Amino acid sequence: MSGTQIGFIMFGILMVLLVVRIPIGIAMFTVGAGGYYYLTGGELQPVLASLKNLAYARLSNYDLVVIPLFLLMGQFATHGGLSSALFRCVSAFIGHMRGGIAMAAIGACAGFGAICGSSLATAATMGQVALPELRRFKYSGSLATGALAAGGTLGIMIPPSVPLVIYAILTQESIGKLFMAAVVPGLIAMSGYMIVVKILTTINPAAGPAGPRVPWSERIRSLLLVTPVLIVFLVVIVGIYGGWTNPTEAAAIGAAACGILAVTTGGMRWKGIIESAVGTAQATAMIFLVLLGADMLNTGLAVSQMPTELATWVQNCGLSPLLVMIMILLIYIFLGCVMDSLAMILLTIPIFYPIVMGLDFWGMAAADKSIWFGILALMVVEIGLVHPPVGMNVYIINRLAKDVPLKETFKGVIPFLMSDFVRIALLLFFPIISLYLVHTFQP
Amino acid sequence: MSEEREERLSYDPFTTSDAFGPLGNFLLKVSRFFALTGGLIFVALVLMSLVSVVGRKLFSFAVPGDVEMLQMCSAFALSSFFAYCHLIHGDIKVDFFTHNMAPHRVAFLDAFGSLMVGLFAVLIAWRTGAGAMSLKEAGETSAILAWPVWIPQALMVPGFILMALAGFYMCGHMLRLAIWRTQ
Amino acid sequence: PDVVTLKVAHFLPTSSNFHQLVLLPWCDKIAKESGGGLKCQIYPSMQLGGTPAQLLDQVRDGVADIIWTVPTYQAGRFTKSEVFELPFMVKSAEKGSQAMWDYVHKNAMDEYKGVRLLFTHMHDGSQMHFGKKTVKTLEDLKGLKLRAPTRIGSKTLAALGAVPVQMPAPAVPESISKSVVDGASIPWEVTTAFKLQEICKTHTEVAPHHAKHSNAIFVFAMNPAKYNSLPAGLKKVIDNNSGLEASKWVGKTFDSFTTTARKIAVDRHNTFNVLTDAEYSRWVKATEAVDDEWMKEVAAKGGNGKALLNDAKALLKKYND
Ligand code: NA
Ligand code: NA
Repeated sequence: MSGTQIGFIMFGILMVLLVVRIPIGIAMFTVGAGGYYYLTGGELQPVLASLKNLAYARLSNYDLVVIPLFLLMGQFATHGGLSSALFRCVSAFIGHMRGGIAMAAIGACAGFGAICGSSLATAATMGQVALPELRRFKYSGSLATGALAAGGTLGIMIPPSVPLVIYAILTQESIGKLFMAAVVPGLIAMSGYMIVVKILTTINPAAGPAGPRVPWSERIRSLLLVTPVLIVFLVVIVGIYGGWTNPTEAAAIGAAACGILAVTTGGMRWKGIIESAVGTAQATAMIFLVLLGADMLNTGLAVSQMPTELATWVQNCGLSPLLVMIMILLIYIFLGCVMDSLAMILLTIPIFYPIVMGLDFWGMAAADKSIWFGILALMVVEIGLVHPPVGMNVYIINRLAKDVPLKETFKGVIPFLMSDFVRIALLLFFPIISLYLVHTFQP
Repeated sequence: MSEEREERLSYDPFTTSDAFGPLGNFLLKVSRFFALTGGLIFVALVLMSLVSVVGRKLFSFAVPGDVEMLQMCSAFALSSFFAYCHLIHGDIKVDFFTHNMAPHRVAFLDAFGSLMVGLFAVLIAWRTGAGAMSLKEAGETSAILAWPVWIPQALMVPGFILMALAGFYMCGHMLRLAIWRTQ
Repeated sequence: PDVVTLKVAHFLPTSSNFHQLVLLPWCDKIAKESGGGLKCQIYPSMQLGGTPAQLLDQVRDGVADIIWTVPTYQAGRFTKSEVFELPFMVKSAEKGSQAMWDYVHKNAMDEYKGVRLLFTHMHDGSQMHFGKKTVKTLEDLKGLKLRAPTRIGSKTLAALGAVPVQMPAPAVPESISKSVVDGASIPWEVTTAFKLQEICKTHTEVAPHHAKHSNAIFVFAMNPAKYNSLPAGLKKVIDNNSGLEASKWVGKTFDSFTTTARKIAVDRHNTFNVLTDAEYSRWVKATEAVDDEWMKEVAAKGGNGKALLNDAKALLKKYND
């Protein structure tokens, strides 16, 4: 049997394990270790020996430490009430427009995303803050929950973003450049969602009534309350990109700043700190178990040579690069039907990345291609968080909105998905959208 | 039977309680303590990094060996998170295919999943411990502080042992639920 | 006949000088000489998992059949071999690599228990590269923040009055351009990959007849059980491509990288500051404490540091370094 065949068999077994609800990290680990054992001639010694270092190598990785730090930053922001300050601020400015409260929720999601690396946390936090308001102003259930579920994805599309960190580490790409590249596409995503709300409420004004107009003095006051958020964001993103601090230090500064803000202005006390610590622990463990499993799986796949052989095959089979890219994006959307975004990145990047890097897209330089593909992959795995049947954000928001049937929420998300597809197409044909800032502020 | 057991068993990142017996509640308490300790270590690391960065920028002073301290401490802290995550159904699973399956069947599958979590943790605890012992024998140290590297690696073992216990307990717990739900 | 596939692991990307100009030619050579009986399956960039520091353990445990790494990434384990990383020891990779091969086989084989050394080598020696600072004397160096290459390299920089900063090599260009560090202690060989010649405008070098301020040791090692499992003919092929001659060849290849990399900086009209003989002696004197500290570490492990250091120096002399 060729290595590639074994690689495909490994994937087959992995799918079976996933179907029967084995935790994704454990399933990846089992298949990786099994494949490795088989490929090294059925000897236990090599696999046992490589396991000696697996956990320490992964868990002491300096770059990966940014993940718990970004999660801690988000926890502090949540427990310090920064989410409601953001929401109050944005709705003070645009709440009086038709559909304005839903747009404000999306804007606040983007703001929260700027200091939080996770989409689930953004959806859950902003859901708790904005849903009661949306219901108070008699927004339709599908618009309210749809906007929040989609808005939650801004948590990963606006940097900092955990999937981008993972992508950077898998591809030895610069975290700072990837974060910088995600800024404009993230803002386009936010605007796209707001436009969707505008269109929906123009068609059906009853779905999203206007809120009260807020006097300017009040607007300025609410703006002052959230400026620290902007400062934290700038410190983190500019600090990393400018090379003033490394990502881990920047994440630590961001977490410290959010923690101090939460204690001084948000009234966070010991209880909040403890809840933040435990919340970080849970979300981090969830991610790192998948990372441990992916490590073993990638080793197994590397030994099988399947990724390299597949990349060579794609390069030689004469398909147009654009077609290959579209196929890759479709595979992501398909995988997103059943899989978590992080697991998707970990599973597919080792395979797709060599393929993409071996193809020519409009003569783009390798360094640019690598960043552009990272942002494209981020956008397309993010869709999996909201599209049926298992969009995680949809479940989180739907659980918060007890009176809205799940079907309504999924229906509410569809228009936002449309804007996602438009944005992905834009980014596919105009890579400059992601590369503009990276080129302009070349360090 | 307490009605908490009627809660959805599918992946729910924000579940914090489950109707455990005394053993399960004890395990949950220990695991929560481990997770909290690890989380607070990260809070402390944040403060250390802050001192280090500010010191380096403003006073040409850096905490010596801050990078390797962060690496060693985070390895220990991260290893202490897994048991708690598993006990509160925090693992990422694919629940698409089992969405409409009867709850007792799902519980049965989850019992199997937890068993694998337990076995994985035993394997990792064993190998990590073995790795620590060979590092001790070789006398490897960290580069700047010259701290022995085997110690932080050995400190990861308790976290994985606790994870194994959590996996095996959840296996039994889920089996009980599966049988109870069948009746 | 059966083809034996050797799993070769290292930590650099495929674009690296080592991968392209040392490993691939070596693999081609053994394939040719064995009539296709030996084949390399290369795993670059730590594809077999783990960290660069763990590579020697991986080959010992049979995770990989052959590895290439810097053993001193594992601090505290290769104290005796580390002698060649001491300040102002080695002039050229070609000579230093041969001396290292002899020295290790004479004095430090206990540090390589469980692995079979195929060749040992050094790089072309670190020089100092600065964003814009001009460094001609010890006084110029005082208080400057410099990226340090190794553990000993870090101590050397501190002894010279600079502030050593640890960071991975790929982070160096960005850090220099943003003045996070003023410069880096790095061999010419690595500068090409990071286009360091474009960011650094001045380079402080020692004269060719002097030893460089820092170096790193590398080993290319094989799993002994894998070696023993080979039929006699294939063993012979491996033997013919390892040892002193192979070490010399690799060293020479690394020296040749310097010429290419340095030419880029010359063509860009960068400034080169070469230490005068008098200044060089001051630098050597300033770093004597690093040697002393190393001898103490050897003594703590029951070795005779003084004798080892003298032996290393004698071997370097033997090869006219
Ligand atoms: Na974010
Ligand atoms: Na999904």
